[in-house]
Amino acid sequence: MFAAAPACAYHSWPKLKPEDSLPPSPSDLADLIAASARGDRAAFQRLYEATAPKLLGVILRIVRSRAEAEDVLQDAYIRVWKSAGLFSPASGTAFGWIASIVRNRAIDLLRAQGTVRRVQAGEDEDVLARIADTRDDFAQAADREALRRCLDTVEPKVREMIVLAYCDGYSRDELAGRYASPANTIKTWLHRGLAALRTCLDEKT
Amino acid sequence: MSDESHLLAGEYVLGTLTADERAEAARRLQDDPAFRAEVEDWQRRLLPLTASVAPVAPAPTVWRAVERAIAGRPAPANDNLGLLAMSRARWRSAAVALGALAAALALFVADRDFLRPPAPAGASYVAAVNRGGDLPALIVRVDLATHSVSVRPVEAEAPAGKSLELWYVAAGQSPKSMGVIQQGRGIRMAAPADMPVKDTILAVSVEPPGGSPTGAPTGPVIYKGQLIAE
Repeated sequence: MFAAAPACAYHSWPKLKPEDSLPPSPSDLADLIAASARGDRAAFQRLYEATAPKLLGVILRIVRSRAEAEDVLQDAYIRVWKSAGLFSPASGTAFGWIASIVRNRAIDLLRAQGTVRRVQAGEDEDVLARIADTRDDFAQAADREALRRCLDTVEPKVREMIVLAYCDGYSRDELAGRYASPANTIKTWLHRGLAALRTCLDEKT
Repeated sequence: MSDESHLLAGEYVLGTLTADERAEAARRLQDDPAFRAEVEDWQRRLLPLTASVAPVAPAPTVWRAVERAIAGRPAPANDNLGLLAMSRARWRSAAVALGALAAALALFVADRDFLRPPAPAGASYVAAVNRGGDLPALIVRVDLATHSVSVRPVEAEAPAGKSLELWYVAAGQSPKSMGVIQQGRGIRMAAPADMPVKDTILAVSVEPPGGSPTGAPTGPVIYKGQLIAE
């Protein structure tokens, strides 16, 4: 079986019931972005309603304050509206495109603030199992399975760093604090993990 | 693409770059398509990590604020990166956003030229061609008295191995080339005979070396601005 590692699980804000958030199909979302690019505000509202709750969950893992998270969400969706014409289905899924805009805003905010949060070893969960099992999911099943297999090939400590960085927005300095190692060493480990992950994923896709 | 680029793209998506490194990567995203593709690959590879995140309903105020911010815009302005082939209506909406800044810059230009003999009223037009919110990249002046166009680059920078090409887009027409911009050098040319000045928009696109092979813009539009009476 797979070793335990922290997950992008969400634990401290009220959760929606699953029936409130059935994900629309990827092609529906792509159509809504295309309509938004033509100036269709009703379509954009549907796009927001379908994706914003999931992405607020993602942002709250990173910025940890409800007010900041909602500011990030607001800025990011204004940006989604303005750049809807730039979305190309060839470059990835519609949800992935919006998620990238949202995550980038959240991380830009964190890095601009420049604070180094003190982070402790926390509640470890089985990220690999969760990636495989979840149904409330906008990611493609094949991508999900590939990532699950390939994360399993990365050494556990480095896998944990990758997940903490992606899900919780940990900087190199914050990881350095958590793992009691210099930031340069963290960078080397992250690079090693990313290289292994990429090699593995490119073989499988 | 080098290993270093792959890892930079990977760390950009992970979010572990410092603020300076992120800014550098964001710049590279704009003019390095191979790097952009690598970042998109990492976004796709790592996205499944969000699968286990439970949704959280945003406060209704968030949508209301978004709605207010997008109200009154007939169509997205495309972050100034759309293609010139986009409809005239969209060009106009983008130009409106630049109007105030362009007006301020026109005043600045007029002031600098205070010592020169004034052109007859209404005979001279200027456009500050810029990326939204930044400093102008080019100042384009159209002088109807001498029927000439002068282009003064302020900050225009072509990505490596590419040329920047200047276009004008008259109301209801497709873009027409005004030539390739030499980096760091001003140019002066005769105004195209059929070039109207009212409501005309100028734009700069990224093209293969020497300019567009097709006579129409083929690359992304990186700067644009509207001609206004000086």
